[in-house]
Amino acid sequence: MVAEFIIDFQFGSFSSALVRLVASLSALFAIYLSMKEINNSLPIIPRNSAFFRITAYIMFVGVSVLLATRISDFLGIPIEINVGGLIAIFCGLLQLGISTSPSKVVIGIIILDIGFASIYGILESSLLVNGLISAVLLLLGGLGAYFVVREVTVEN
Amino acid sequence: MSTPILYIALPVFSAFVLFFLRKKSKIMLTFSMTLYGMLSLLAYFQVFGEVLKIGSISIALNTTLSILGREFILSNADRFFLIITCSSSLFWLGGLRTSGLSVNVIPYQMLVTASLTAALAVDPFVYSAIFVEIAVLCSMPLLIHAKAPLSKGVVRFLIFQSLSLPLILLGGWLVAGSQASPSDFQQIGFAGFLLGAGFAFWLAVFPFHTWIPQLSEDTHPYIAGFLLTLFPQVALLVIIDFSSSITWIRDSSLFETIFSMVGIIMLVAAAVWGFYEKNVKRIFGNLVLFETGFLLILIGLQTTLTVEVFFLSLIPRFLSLLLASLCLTIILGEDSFTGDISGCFRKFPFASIGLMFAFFSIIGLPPLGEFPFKLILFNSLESSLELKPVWLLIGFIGMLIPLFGIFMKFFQPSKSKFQIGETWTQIVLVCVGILLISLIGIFPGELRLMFSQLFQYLPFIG
Repeated sequence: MVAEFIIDFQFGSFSSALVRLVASLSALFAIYLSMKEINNSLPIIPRNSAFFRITAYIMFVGVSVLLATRISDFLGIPIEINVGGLIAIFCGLLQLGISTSPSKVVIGIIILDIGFASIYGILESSLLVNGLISAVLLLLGGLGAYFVVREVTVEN
Repeated sequence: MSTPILYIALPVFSAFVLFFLRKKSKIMLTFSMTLYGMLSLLAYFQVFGEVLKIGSISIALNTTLSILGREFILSNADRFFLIITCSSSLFWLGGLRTSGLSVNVIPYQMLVTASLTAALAVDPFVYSAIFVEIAVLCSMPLLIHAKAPLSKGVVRFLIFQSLSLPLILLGGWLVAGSQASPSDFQQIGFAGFLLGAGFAFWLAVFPFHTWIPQLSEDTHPYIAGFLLTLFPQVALLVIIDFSSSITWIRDSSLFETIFSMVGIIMLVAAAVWGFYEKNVKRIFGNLVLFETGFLLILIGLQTTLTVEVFFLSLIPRFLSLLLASLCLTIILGEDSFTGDISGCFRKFPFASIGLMFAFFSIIGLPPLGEFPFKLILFNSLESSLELKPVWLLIGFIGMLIPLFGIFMKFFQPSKSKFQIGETWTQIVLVCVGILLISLIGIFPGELRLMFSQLFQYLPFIG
C-alpha cells in the first residue's frame, strides 16, 4: 500500500494518493485490531499450499510486468503505475480465489480495489470518485472487522 | 431544493436518525413508510423542474445537485424508477412486521435504496458502479444471520458485485474516450468487453449466476425478495441510461443480437437449473434470473412499445417478487432456512395460494400480472425468422415444470388437520397482493393509462 502511494504521488495528485493510503491503511488496521482483540493465532500453512502461493505470486508478477507494457501504451499512463497496480490486482484476485474465510475475502477485495484505484486514480482525477473509492475501502474495512468478530462469536 | 436531496440525501439522513431510534419501533416503521409514501406520490404527481406548491408555500424543485464537480440528476426520466423504488420500499416495509423481521433493518434498507437511487442519478453513469458497491456493502447487515455461519451465497454476492466495480469504471472511462475517436476499434472492443463483463456480474448472467439461488436459499426470504427486486432493476436501468446516451452503441446492429442472446441464455439457463431444484427458495432465485432474461430481451428490441412494456412490467415484477417473498416467509415461518414446504397447503392455505399466484405471474400465465407483457414480447419476436421464439418457449415451459413440482408438494397428504395458520394481517396482505397482480393482468390498459403521462419522459432507445 505504501509502495502504491509512493508510486502514485510521483505521477498523480498527492492528496488523492494520500487519501487512498489513509483509507486503505485504516481499513486493514480495523481488521487487524479486531483480529488482535480475539487473539487468534495464525494457522500453519502446509508446504504444498505455500509452494502454490509462491508459484502463483511469481507467475502473477511476471504476467503483470508483461501486461504493464501493453497497458501503458493502451491507456497512456506510466509503466510503474501499471506494474504496481496489476501486482496488487492479481494478489487480490489470488486471495479471493484461495480464501474460504469471509474476512480474508474482504481483505482480497480491499487489495484488488487498491490496485485498481492506483491505476484509475491517474486516469480519472475527480475528487468525488477518489473520495467514493476511499469510502468503499473504509466500508470494506468495517465489514471485514465485523466478519472477524462474528466468525469467532459463531464458533464459540 | 432539488430532487437528489429529496430522494437521496433525505433517506440517508433519515436512516442515520432512525439508527439511533431503534427502540422505538412504531415510530421507525411509521416514519419510514410515510416518507416512502410521500416520495412515491411526489414522483407520480409532481413534474420535476417545476415549482412544488404545498398550500401557500412554493418550492422550486431543481433536478440537479452538484457535488465536487460531478452532478446528480433526477429528472422526469427517472420518475418511473422513483415511483417503483419508493413504492416497493413502502410495500416491503408494510409487510415487515408480518414477516417477523426486526425493525432494526429499516435504516440499512433506506441506505441501500438511497445508494441505488444515487447510482442511477450520478452523471456520468460509470460512477454508478461505486454507488452500487456502497449499496452492496450497506446490504450486508441485512443478509447476515446473527446465529448462523456466513453463507456462501452472501460471500459470492459480495465478491461478484465487487468485481464489477473496476470493470465498469475502467470500461466507462474507455467508452468516454472512444466518443472522441470512434474509429479506434481496439479501444471500443476492449471497453465493450469490460462493460459487458461488469454488467454480467451485476445481473448474474450465466455463468456468474450462482450467487442468486444461493443467496435466496441462505437468507431470509423477505430480505432476499427485497434485494433481488432492487439490484437487477437498477442494473437494467443503468444499462438503458448508458446505451441510450451513447449513439454508436444505440445504433449498433449488434445491440439487439447481444441483448437477445444474453436474455435467452438467462431464460433457458434459469429453466434448466430450476428443473433440478427441489428447494422452493432456490427456485425463487431462478425465477429472478428468468425475469432478468425477459427484461434484457425487451431492452434489446429497442422499439417504443418494448421500452414501454419494459418499464410497465417492472410494476407486476416487484409486486410478484414481494408477494412471493412474503408468502415464503409465512410458509417457512421462524425456521425460514430449511425450504421444506411439504403439505403446507393444509397449514397455510392463503400463503400457498399467494405463492402460486406470484410464481405464475412471474412466468406470465394468463390472466396474472405479467401475462400481457410476456405476450407482447412473444408478438414482437414473432416476426423474427430466427429461433428466438422457440428458445423463449422452451424457457417458459422449462420454468413451469419445477413450479408444478413445487405445487404438487403443497398438496401432499399430511397428518395435520386443515387449518388457517396465517394471522389476519397476513391474510389481508396476501389477498391484496393477489388482487393487485390479478387486476394488472386483467386490465393492463388501465395500468398503461395510469402511467401514460410519464412515457414522454422515458429514455427511449429506439
